[in-house]
Amino acid sequence: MTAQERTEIEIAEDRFWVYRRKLGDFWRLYRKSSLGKLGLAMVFAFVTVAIAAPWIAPYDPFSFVGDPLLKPSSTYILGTDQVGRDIFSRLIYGTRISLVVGLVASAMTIGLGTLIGLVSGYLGGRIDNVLMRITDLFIILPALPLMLIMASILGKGIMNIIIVITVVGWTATARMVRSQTMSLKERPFTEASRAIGSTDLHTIARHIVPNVFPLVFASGMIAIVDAILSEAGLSFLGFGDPGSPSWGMVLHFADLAGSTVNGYWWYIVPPGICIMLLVMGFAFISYSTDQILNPRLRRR
Amino acid sequence: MQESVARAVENVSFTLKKGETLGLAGESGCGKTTTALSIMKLLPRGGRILNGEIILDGEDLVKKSDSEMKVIRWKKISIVFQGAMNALNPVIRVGDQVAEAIIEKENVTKGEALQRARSLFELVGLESTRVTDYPHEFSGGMRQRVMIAMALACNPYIVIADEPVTALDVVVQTRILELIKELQRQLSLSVILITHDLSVIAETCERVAIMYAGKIVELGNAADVYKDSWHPYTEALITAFPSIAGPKRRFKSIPGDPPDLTSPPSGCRFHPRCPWQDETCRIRDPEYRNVDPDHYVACHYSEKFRERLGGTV
Amino acid sequence: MRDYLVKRGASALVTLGLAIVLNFFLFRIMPGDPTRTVVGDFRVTAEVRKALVHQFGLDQPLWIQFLFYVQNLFMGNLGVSFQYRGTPVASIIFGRRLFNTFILMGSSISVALVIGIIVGTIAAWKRESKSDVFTVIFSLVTYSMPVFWLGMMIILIFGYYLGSIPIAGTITVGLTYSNVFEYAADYLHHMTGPFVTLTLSFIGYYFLIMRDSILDVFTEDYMLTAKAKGLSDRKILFRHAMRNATLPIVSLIAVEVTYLFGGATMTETVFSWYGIGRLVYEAVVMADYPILQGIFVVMAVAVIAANFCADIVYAFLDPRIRY
Repeated sequence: MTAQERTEIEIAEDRFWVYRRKLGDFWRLYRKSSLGKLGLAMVFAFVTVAIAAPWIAPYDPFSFVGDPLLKPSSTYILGTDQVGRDIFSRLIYGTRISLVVGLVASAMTIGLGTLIGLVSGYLGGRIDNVLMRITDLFIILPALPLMLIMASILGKGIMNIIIVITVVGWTATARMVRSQTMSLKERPFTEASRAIGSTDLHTIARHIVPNVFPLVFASGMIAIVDAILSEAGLSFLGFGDPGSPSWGMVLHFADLAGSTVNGYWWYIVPPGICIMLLVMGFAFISYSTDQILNPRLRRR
Repeated sequence: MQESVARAVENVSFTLKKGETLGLAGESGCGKTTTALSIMKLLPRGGRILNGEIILDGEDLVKKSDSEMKVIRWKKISIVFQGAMNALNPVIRVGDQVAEAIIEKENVTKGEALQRARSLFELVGLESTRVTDYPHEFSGGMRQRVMIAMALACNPYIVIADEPVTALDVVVQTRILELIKELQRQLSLSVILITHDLSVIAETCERVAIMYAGKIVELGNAADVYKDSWHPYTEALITAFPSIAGPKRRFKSIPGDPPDLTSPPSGCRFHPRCPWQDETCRIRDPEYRNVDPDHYVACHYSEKFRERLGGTV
Repeated sequence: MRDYLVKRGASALVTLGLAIVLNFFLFRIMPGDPTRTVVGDFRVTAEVRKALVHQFGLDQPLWIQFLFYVQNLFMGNLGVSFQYRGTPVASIIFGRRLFNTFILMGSSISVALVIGIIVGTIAAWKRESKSDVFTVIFSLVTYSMPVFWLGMMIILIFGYYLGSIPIAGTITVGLTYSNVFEYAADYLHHMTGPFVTLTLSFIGYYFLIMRDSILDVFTEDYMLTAKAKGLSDRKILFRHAMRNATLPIVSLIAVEVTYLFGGATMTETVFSWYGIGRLVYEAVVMADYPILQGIFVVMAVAVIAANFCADIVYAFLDPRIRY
């Protein structure tokens, strides 16, 4: 083993313990936040429901099991929709869609955004200029109309919705990561890394990424919130997958059945509350994480 | 899981005479700024004065409510912060910032207050026309002058200067210190000068209190404390500063680091870094005692220490 | 300052140029028959289609089409709509619809901003007090609500159950008015639902941002100086803190202008409010690309102009840029 390899291993081990310690610190602080714990609990509850759906749901969400538009009763906890499907079961299965879309779309969004932000911020110069112009354009394009157009072109389907959300949402993360990268680039440890001859990739991966991570994580939470709300909105307007029991889709059909003018409250209220609670869970986590990770906030 | 408490300042006691400059010296984190902020009851969130008294004009400030303190602040005591880089609001003209304290506390019109601001500017060596400028248009040294002018706006009894020249280069440092001395003489101000730089103290202060880890370890006339130190820490501080005039010697830094104030060392807080420490030092906190007229020290072995010093020097 | 504005202005123009180019090509690269962009899905015979293609210059090379497009743009010609059988897009957008959207969005954004900023400032001052915690949670809750669902709930509660607001539309159909006040009253009555929905959905966001900004400002040294001067709480908060905290907000507001021109598609659809937002939805459903293209251009211009104005306002507020 060469001296350099040995040092690298030591550094890697060190970093591991530093991370563990930092993670431990973070968790210790996070545990103190009641809002944070509540958010975590809410998300956890939804995840459990999503996983356990086949065992919890009383009926098959896709079959017609009863008379249409029945009010809630002991047979159908939340009543039925206009084709006779049990709403409660649909909502339970809808949890899966919201979670999957939320997590996958946000992961892709911040993945793309971070990549562009890192490249733009680190390399600077013309590449930065070009990438920033592109980013500006995407920011200017109106989000919802763009999403609708893309959705109508790509067609219905969960994956398409995920793509649409990603295409519209990556810019926020990109800008943030870029400015953070640019400021980190000036720090001594970056210079030191380059001075000892590390490749750019090495410097980025070892030094910049870990420092950008807290920001990206916070941004990720917000991305999840946006993704869930976007999916709900797109489905509501009719651009989602009509076969899937996503909460937005349920509300879409609720609207088609004229629930607001006919007073079918059991069709309107529960799906919205589900969306709200899931989003709130992530929003609470986001808020609490922000209070801890943002160094300026901590100083107060 | 409990949060820890840092005893930033403990058993600090001193008297400030009218017209005198008292220096508060020590390493970073020794509690000098906390003492200053406590006097003005400006401690940040989570900071508290547990007990003690601060007597000004016959009244105990510790007992005063926040609204009562608002009246006293700036009128009786004011403060000049270090690195006036950010101590001035960047979006408000400097003249207005100087004047607003006057307007708040005295019954004058805005025009009169601004006029006072202009004369204050002249007093500190700035052109009076510059009252309409913004902070970023001044250099560091000039911003410090603005801060000083602002501190004098309501004719206070006491001015606390927290590291007033630390962020400035040496030439500007001297000028600002001269300015402070001059103003003090003219206006019979009492000044508490906080710094870690002993040379600044030597130039400006009549008396000095050396602080370590939240406690005063020595207090006395500046000349006495310098030439006739009674505490090992003081001596170490003084010898740590090389003298251009003196013989060439190696740097003598003080080994070790300042302690963590959430769990300070047992007994004398300085003992881990003191070459003369023994069992007593590790167990018992030294008493703060009067060893000479107006000279106090907190050390078990000051007499022995001074003997040894007399021998080696 | 002049240099700053010139630089900003040039940058804005470049972005605008790029946006126009992008807009043009975006709708040209839609999959399918390129003539769809103009001719739409209507069934026409092959000859008619060919004639139309020639008339609209679609058989020309792309860059010539682009030049025509730009030329038309400068003359205010945004093409013609399909679903409205040849009505110029410009007249559809710059008519009743824009007016309705402006009124709705303008009022709700303004109210939400004012309330959000003031309450955010006070909440930051009383950090962690009961009122602060309450408003933070309230904001997080309203932020989490899907806007269209909030609209539906408001219709359900206040329209269906309480009957105090109309269920849909901008004005009552078929009603005649004796004077303009009656008209305005009916109009505003119809606007209540969407107005409340939008204001509630915006307010949480502005509140949290302002609160964050003020808390940030509190860490600055000049806040300690202000406190040391013994100034009143009100002076410290509104004169020192707020002036600095609103600076970053100005840039954020520029982004909100998108809503001013693009409307809130969700809300307008739920309430059947006759505005641009709903127009977008209809145009997408009917594949009326000329309208969409027109809206995109209008919004791009609006956002770029708004950002430039924000730059100007920022220069006025922050003397560090001015001098």
